[in-house]
Amino acid sequence: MHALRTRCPRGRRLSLRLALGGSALFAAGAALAGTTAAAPPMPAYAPVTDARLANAANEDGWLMYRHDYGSTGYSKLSQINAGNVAGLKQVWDYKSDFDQGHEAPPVVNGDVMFITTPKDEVHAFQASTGKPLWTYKHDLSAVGLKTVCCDVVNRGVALYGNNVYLATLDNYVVALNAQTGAVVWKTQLMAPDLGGAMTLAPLVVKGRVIVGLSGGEYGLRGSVRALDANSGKLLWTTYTIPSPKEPGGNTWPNNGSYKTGGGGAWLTGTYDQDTDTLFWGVGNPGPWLATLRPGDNLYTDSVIALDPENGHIKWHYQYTPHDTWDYDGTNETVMTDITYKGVAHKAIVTASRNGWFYAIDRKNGKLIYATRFVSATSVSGFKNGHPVTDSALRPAVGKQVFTCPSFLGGKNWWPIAVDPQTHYAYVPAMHTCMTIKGVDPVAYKPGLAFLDETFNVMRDPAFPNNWGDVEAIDLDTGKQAWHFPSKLPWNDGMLATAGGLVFSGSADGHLYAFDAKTGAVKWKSPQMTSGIIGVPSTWSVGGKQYVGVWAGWGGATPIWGGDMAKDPAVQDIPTGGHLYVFSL
Amino acid sequence: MNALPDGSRAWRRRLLGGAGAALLAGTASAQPLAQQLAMTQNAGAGQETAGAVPALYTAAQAATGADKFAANCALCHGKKLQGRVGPALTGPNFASAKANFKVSDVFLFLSRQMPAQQPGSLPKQDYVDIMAFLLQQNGYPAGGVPLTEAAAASSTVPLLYHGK
Ligand code: HEC
Repeated sequence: MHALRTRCPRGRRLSLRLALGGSALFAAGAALAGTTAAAPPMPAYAPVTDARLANAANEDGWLMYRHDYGSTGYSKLSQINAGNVAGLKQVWDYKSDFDQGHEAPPVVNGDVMFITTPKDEVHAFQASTGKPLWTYKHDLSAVGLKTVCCDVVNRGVALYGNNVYLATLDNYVVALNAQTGAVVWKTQLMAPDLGGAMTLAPLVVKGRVIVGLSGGEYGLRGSVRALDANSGKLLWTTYTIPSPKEPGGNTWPNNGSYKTGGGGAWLTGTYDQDTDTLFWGVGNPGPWLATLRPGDNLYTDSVIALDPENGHIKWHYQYTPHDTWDYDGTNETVMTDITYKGVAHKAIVTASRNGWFYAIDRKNGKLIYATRFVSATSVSGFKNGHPVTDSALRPAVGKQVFTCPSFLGGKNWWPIAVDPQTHYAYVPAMHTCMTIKGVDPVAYKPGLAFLDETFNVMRDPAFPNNWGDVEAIDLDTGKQAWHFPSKLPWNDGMLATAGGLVFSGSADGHLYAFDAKTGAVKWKSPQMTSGIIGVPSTWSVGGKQYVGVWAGWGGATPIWGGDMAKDPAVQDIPTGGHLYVFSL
Repeated sequence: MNALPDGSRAWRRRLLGGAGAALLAGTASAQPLAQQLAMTQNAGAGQETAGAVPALYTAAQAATGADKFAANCALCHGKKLQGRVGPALTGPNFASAKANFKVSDVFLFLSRQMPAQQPGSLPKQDYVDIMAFLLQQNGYPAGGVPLTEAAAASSTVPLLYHGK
């Protein structure tokens, strides 16, 4: 820590003072920094223009959370490939100060990497060497972190122009100067500890910084919001729960329930440049117990298509109507062109929490197909393109049911990747079921969870030895092409590359490189100091390709995981953030 | 995780107790141990001079509650209730006027929804004793009358941090 501080450039000290004011602790940090010798020179920094974001799929860097506007998690880099990946070696590393979950991908522009820690720090490093450039530490000292359900986490930054954007646990969107870490502006969207928090990486579309609030567990009325990238001014807010007067408002009882209806929008969306449409996933309804809010409860557990100009909703598709199992519809939608039963479609695909893999027409929101990728009983099938739920598997006060998957989902937030070469989607899957039952409802109280259900995550009887799985799904059929079962849960995102490889990290701390076509393990890193839930990314600087990932176990599994969390093999996974970067 | 030089539990202890914790204490809302001790003494004195801060539990209950908390809650909320993956359960960021919690709000919440892995799974009396411990750790004095489940579930006493 001291070594890092003493190597800080002047710009960082400035930003610390700006951001943190009089806190004694940080004043001490700044004083330490004051004792330093020369700071490393900032590598050249090319502004991130609209044109570069539009063409991110062909960049050498990793310009946004899921690499490109299609949310593919796929890089065209191929220097590291199935033939040479066995020679991958660690080139630098960095240990964080936190033992919560480390989920953010390295975001890389040129030779500069930006990565966040669980408590809303942004670290800038020279991407090729790991030299620290600056650090921004967001001040959370007066924040209770009361309404942060699933570990204290952050999923990374967005880039635009010469700025870096961060969304914080106390609902700030912060713009930082990419070269110094100084605060350019910060805008607070709501007070903390009353239901809302932000953990997602923002998405920048045509000069707008787009974010969504988490809070489905606290009866927040969720929203997606756009801010002006230059000024931080709020441009629009689209609530994910319609009021009684709006379209969809009649899917809620007319008793004010929409105000506490949930629908967190807690993961980063996707942007279709052809139709100028933003796709954003919407989370679970509140309270969890559905008997308290008859109706389909739009737009919970749905993907909504938005006009980025004004936030107007163009269409929606609901994955789980009238949810009572916490099956958020937030999982990323990936743009891909598919041919299903001989017909070509421009699609978005998603592996939903409810255990079904969906392909949806991205022009109009019509279902193309849905297939199960894990045991899925709560949603039992489809009729006229819409899901059908099993009413016998709905809990009520005093009625306990056993159903699959558990509320943690067939897949949780850890993102899939889609590879145009194999035409497969790579899905980090979880094999769990649950008991769940309603309890006597408690009145809504801002700042306390609003669930009215108790539950226990259990093994899926069909997979007695595996909590986790990595699955390849053929996009043209929805059928599994290969899978790699795991004793431990597999809670990491996927990175696919043109090198014919799929990278993802295991809970016991190995970064794996799978053969994209066959699933054969081509390389496995030495064991890291913690389990991996950090999204891996890749970039190329000076003709050399790198792969980077946070180790740092945490997230929802160890908190809400019931029997899975209590499995000694899971309990013993060490924690602590540690960033690893590899190259040939 | 055999490749690790030390066991993971030792690792965890090191992190919670070491420099990492000190830093967290600075940025989050933890109460330093000395402050907690001062608070406990304050609680003792409170028996005679209770005044505005009511005595809602007995010292024996809080002691039992401390053990139950260590076994069932500390992993997520921290040994000193300073917060880790779950929020701090002591201090002005927890028991604040802004949060506006009554004792019953917190008791009903924790006895139904905690521990997070298996909500509602503990014996009722354990939750009552843990509530006594939380009161103690937020500066409420011990008294001669034990907290009961019924009292905890209906208490309209505001939960405000009374530590120093
Ligand atoms: C596995 C992790 C975990 C365990 C174990 C756990 N908690 Fe929690 N607790 C959380 C998380 C996460 C939250 C915040 C999110 C939420 O309420 O959904 C929370 C919230 C709370 C809150 C609300 C705090 C506030 O300010 O809103 C209370 C009170 C609480 N827990 C008490 C307890 C008690 C008492 C126990 C032991 C019986 C316990 N917890 C065990 C994770 C845990």
